[in-house]
Amino acid sequence: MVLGRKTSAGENVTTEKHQNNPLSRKINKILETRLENDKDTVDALKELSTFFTDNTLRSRRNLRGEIEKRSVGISEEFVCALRDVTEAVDDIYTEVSSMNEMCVDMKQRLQATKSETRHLIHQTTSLQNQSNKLRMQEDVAEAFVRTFQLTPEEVAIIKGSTRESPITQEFFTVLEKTMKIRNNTKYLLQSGHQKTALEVMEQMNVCREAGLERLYRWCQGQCRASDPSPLVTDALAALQERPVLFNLVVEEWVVVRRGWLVRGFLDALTMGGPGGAPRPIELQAHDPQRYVGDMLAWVHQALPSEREAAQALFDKCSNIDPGEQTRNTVAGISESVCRPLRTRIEQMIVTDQRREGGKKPVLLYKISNLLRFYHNTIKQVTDGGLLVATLDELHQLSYKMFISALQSQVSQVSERLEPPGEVLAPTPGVARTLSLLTEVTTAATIADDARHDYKQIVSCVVDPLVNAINESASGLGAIESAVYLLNCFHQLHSTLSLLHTTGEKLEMIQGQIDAQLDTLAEEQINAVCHSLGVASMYPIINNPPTPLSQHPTCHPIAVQAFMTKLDGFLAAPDHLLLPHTRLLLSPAFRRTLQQRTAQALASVYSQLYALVHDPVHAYTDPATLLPRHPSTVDSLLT
Amino acid sequence: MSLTYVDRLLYFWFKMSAGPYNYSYIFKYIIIGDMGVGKSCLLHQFTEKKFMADCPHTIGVEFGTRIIEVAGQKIKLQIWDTAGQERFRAVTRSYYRGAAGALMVYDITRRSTYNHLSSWLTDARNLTNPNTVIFLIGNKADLDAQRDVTYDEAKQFAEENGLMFVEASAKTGENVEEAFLETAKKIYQNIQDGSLDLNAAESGVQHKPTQPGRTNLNNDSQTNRDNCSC
Repeated sequence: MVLGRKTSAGENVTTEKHQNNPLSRKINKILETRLENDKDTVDALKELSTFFTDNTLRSRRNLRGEIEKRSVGISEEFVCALRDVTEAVDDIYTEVSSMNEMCVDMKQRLQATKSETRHLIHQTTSLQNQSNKLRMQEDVAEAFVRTFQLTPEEVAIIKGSTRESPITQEFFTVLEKTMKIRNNTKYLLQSGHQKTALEVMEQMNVCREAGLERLYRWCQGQCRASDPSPLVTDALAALQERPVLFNLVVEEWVVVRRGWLVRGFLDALTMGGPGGAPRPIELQAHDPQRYVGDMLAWVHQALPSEREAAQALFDKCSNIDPGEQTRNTVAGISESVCRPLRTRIEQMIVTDQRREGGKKPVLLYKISNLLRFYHNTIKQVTDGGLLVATLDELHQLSYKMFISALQSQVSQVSERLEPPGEVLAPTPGVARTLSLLTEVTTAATIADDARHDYKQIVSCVVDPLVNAINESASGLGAIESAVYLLNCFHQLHSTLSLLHTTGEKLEMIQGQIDAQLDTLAEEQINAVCHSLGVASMYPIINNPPTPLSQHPTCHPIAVQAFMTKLDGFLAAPDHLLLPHTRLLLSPAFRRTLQQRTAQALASVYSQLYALVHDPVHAYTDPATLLPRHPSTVDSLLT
Repeated sequence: MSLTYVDRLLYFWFKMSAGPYNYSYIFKYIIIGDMGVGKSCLLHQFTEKKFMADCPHTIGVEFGTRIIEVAGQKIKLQIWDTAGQERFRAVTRSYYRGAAGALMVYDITRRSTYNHLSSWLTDARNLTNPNTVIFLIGNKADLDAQRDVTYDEAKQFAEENGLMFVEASAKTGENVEEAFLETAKKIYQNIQDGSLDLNAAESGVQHKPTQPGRTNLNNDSQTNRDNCSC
């Protein structure tokens, strides 16, 4: 091509010149023909080259014919082949037409069927919808039943197959369910299903009623059983909503246990332990304190078990205060022992009056303290109740009996108080009464608050005793009486001061002691002054005339006589003391008396000494008359 | 009759299949001994597992419980702790009745408390039943430096009088548990071999909710006893 272009470019002018010449155009065309580039021609030539194996004239001449012959052959072959094709196409055509016919036919039939089944399909669909709806309704209904109804099994559990069929754990589950259902009915009410709601509620109520009724009966049986089921606790919790049934069960429990308790108590009283050891409590009846103590201790020891049983019983109750209910129950159970306890203890308190003689107030007080102790102890367990009240009453009674026994015994002794003997010591009656007081007060060992009683006890004993002592002393002379009273009061005082809590009485007695000491001191000083001869001087000394030496009573001779006697007294001071003061039992009293006498004497001496030594009174030689200095006398006396 | 006498009793009376209580028996104990030997502290150590310093004097009697296990049986110990003070003797003596076990305590640092043991023992023997298990405890074993009573001496006393014995300390807790448990084991053993007559009231062993009708039971056991003795 490149070469071609160069040629055409080089002969551009010539070309244009021969443009109109067809021949030249043809030649040019031929010239321009490039055989080697014409593929068809090359292929044709290649095909031709196979026609002849040898280049002969004949073959060169026949070339065209040969080619045509071959062309005809090919055409014939083609026609032949095409005929086959035509036939095949014809066949296909017939078949397709028949197929088409069948299809049309089928289509018609299908349409016919379709029109026929449309109704069926419609029906099916609607049935299916209905079925879905029903299934849903079933679900709802099931859910409803689940939520608002009990299964037959559950109903059987609640109502029990027989009257005696036992209560099981399931019972409470079902009971719980009825409660839940009843609560659920409010949703029904809210959603407008009043009638259903009311019906369900009614059903549940009937069911619960039957269940609780059965539960109640079962509980009653359990109360009587020795071995109550642990489910009783649940049962009571469930019965809470029927206070009447609840209380009936509790009552039954109390009644049954009361019976057991009292039987146990009576056994302990009359039968004792295995083989009679420990011995029956009643064998101790001869020892009232022991007897009463054993009975009360038995009761006290029985209570923890009862309390624990009651605690277990009310453990799951939420509507009540289990603590209070337990206390009340235990109090109720313990009531049963009140009667046997009361009759026996009362008997002890009352018959004891006559039997025991001298010991009875002490014993009664011991019993009284025992009762008080147990009253306080048991009160902590039951917080009231008949037993506590009984114990309190018995305590009051025994205390009253004790006080009256004490009073009667003291008055018995006081009325027959022996007259004081020669030694003026407290008579045995006084000693007995005081030792009774000591015995009574020391008997109160177990009661910490016994000191409250002391005031009354002391009054009971001391007041009549003091009166009796005073009365019995009335027959004596002033000095003897004072000594006797002092001796008695001394003993009284020392007894009372051991009790610590008798302040008022002590003060009263101290006052009496002081008064008697004053009396005695006065008597003693008088006596000493008389015997020393100073008694007559005393009024004059106090109001001395001038000069004193001229007064007959205080004449130097009299003073000298006094001095002589005083010297004698100083040498043996006991000589001039009243003989009865030696009978004073208390050394302290004796010392007090002596001191008071000495003080009085010393003061008289110092007064006299001052007067004698005063020149105004014109005593000659006062130093010889009264040689001792008052301080010397004072120190000698004391 | 396949059941033994005791088994029957257990069945009727003391054995609990399933009561509202999680134990089978109650054993009643009493703790006795001089004042200040540590009776209340022993009880407190046993029930609370704590030492109570400055323990006040017991007024009359105090009460404590604990559930233990012996041979797979749950047993509730109901322990009555008595006042040691002489002034409460009149009260405390009444509590010996029907004790299944008595713990008799002395203080190893105070000889006088040991010397009084024989009088405590006399009380215990006179006031309890013959089967009551008496266990001697020498308390305050932690104060070994101040010891006034030797172990051997007390051991001998215990052997002579057929008592179980241990030295314990309520302060450290040493041997406290053992004393209470050994006593229970011994009581249980007595029940098992039939020497503890459960049929009687106040044996100190109790089936929880007190006793059911005793009349029937008495007749029952009476015939049984006759059978057994044949």
